[in-house]
Amino acid sequence: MSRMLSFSRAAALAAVLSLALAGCGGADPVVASDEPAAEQTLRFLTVNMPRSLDPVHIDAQRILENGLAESLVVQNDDATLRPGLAASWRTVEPTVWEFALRGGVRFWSGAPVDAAAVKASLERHKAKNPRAKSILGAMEFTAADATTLRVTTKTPDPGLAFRLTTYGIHNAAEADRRGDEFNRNPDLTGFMKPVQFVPGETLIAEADPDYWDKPEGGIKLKRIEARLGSDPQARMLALRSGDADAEFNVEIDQRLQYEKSGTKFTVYSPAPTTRNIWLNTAKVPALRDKAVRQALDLAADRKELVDGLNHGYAKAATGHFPAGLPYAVDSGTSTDVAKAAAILDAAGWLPGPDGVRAKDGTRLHFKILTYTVFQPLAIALQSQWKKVGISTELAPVETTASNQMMLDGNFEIATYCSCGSATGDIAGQLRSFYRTGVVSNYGGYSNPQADALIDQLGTEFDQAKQAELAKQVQRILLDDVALVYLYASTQWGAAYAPRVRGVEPNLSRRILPGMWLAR
Amino acid sequence: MLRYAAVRLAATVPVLLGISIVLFTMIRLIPGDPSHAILLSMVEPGADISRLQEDLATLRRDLGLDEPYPVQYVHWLTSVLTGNLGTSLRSGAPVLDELWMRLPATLELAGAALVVMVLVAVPAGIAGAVWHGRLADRVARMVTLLGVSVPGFLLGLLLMYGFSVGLGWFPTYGRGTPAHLVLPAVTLGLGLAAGVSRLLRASLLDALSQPYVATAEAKGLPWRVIVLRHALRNALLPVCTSAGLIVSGLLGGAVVVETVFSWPGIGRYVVDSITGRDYPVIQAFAIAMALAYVLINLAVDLGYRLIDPRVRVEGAG
Repeated sequence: MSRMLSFSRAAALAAVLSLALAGCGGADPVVASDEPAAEQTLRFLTVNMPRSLDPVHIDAQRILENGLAESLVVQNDDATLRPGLAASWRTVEPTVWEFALRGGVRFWSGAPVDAAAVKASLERHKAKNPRAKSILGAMEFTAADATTLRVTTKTPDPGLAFRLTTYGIHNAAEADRRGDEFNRNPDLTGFMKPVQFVPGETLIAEADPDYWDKPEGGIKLKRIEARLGSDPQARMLALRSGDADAEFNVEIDQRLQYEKSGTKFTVYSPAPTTRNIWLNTAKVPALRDKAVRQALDLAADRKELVDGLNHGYAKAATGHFPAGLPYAVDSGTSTDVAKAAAILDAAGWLPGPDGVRAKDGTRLHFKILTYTVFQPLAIALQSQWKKVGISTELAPVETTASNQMMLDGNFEIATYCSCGSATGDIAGQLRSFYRTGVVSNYGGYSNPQADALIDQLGTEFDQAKQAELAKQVQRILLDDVALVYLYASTQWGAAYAPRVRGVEPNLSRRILPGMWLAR
Repeated sequence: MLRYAAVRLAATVPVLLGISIVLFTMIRLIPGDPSHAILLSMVEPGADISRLQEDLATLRRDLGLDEPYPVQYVHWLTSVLTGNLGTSLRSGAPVLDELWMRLPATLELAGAALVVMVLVAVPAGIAGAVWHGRLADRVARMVTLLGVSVPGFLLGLLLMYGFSVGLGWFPTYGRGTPAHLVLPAVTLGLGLAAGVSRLLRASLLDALSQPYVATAEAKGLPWRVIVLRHALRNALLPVCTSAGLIVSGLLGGAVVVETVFSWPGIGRYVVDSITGRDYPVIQAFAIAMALAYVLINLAVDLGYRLIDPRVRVEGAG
């Protein structure tokens, strides 16, 4: 019997290995020539498929990236701005902005994209887009003339142009006329027009010959076929087999494989975001002790996290914003386990018989709220913190549950994303996570000095002064150990097969009119 | 028989009602509601979310989530009784349309996987029983062991790696041609075949040890006829009883297969809806599944008579 079982297991193993070996000998797409391919259809996989093509829909902002919709202002990967449907913009006074629209732009239906149409579009966003209501609610739109849109705010808002980058401009009058049909058959301005759409699954679109901003030589790309691809490894295999030309959610493990595959796939890793650890000072008395927070910060081994967990595709964090940005601080915490232990000793947190530190009957034991993406990080931190006598246990939940638990303050320590990133709204981002009383300041951090600087930042238009204020805020945050800043990494990269040309590295996830496929 | 079927069908009404109440309550007890899923998932890095509280409250009011649960339930039930399964909170489209749109893909995959399952499980089960302990049995056990021990997602990726990246025979994703169907169906079918084949082998071994087999042999019936016409028929009863399990295996396995092969079916859509707390979709799917299970079990009970005429269904007259 045992011999039979061994035979079966050996045979099963052999079958699995032969399948894997068949793949090893496989042919990745060959390096392309510089001649355009006869069939100009770009096939790509993404986890971000829209469920509606109406730009006011909650996840339809993705159609901005697919070349269907366009916004007034375009946000580059590094969070700088470039003109979109607005050729330029300026602040007339601190609470009044003017956007000069491009002339001659028309919706697919032929209706002109003038100031009145843009105003109606943004008003519709304000009324119907769940992500826009509070943001656009503070703005008044006026058509100053046919090509000038005036935006008035109640208070000075230096980040206003950045805030308008996610709203696709559409024909609001046509939306009212078409009703629910607008979800599948919208009236937009992009160079790709949908021909087949299965919400959340498939989007096929074809180039619009009448597009307003044709590149020199015309639009070569004739068609895009976007499909939902949820599995990261399957997306990579689709590219390697030649079935797909691009994918926009490259994770670190797959990035390694792309680089090892021998084919010249281009992988862009735009806009790193910092991965930080939330400390719930509002709920957990031990975390109100700065010595404990400092120990957690000093004992986190960033090099190990960067080299091991991230295979080197990350950099140690220096503060809330990724290092290298003009508003990021240059240096952060250096890992020092001995210093962490000494700080805890000095504060009276002494090791007990089980190695876990305690003070006045309170043990340094915390629950780490985490979810799938961050679970390996939580496990790594668990072992690092154990070295200084801080005990932790994991409390893994699924992502949506973690959203509510964070909002309710129902956590002690959490790997939940605070995601400091490049932004055109520095004040908005810092306010979101550190301003006293704000709901997304999940750990209840509070420092009047930081609050005052964030408020000042919110009305400062001068970029150099903005950067200086942002650095001052971050130095306070570092000194307070508001969060534990670990490393900056790109969550999702974009990978292209060698035959895809015309990709703009600073708009690496966008399908652009200048893209084409080589033979 | 008809009266029996009618009674069983009538009994499904309170079952479905009970399921709907339990499910309605349970999914609302899970932390996180649709407003969190909508506003906090896929937030652009760098976005200002300092007014999140205000946006959540507005969205909850717009979606009717601020009403008491009993009121929400009555609204939903009233809607269902008029044939409207509700509107997806995430897409804004009618749930029935969304499920209906994906149903052909799911049926196509399930049907093809069933064919693969039968093609693998029945010969493997018969070979294992008839030649137990010999080479054929070992090979059959190897195949089933492979199906049981290799998780669906891994098998799918291995097949993709070998037959798409390596050999270039089949596409890696999508739906449309028979070639698109091969790898997903094999992945799903092999996983199911493992259990069914083991069940059939054991059941057939038991049937072959019964006195009627010895009698048939003594009467000089060919072995092939004894196995295929007499023993196999009896051995199929436990397999049919597990039809519900096979269907659940099809749907459970389909989620993984649909994810790996980007197959636009219902399984992946429902899992996505659960993550996104799309209550109307989850409720509609659960009711549809409950109804499907009841009908399948009824069909199995009635089917017993066809396979084994000695079986009489209680109350069938």
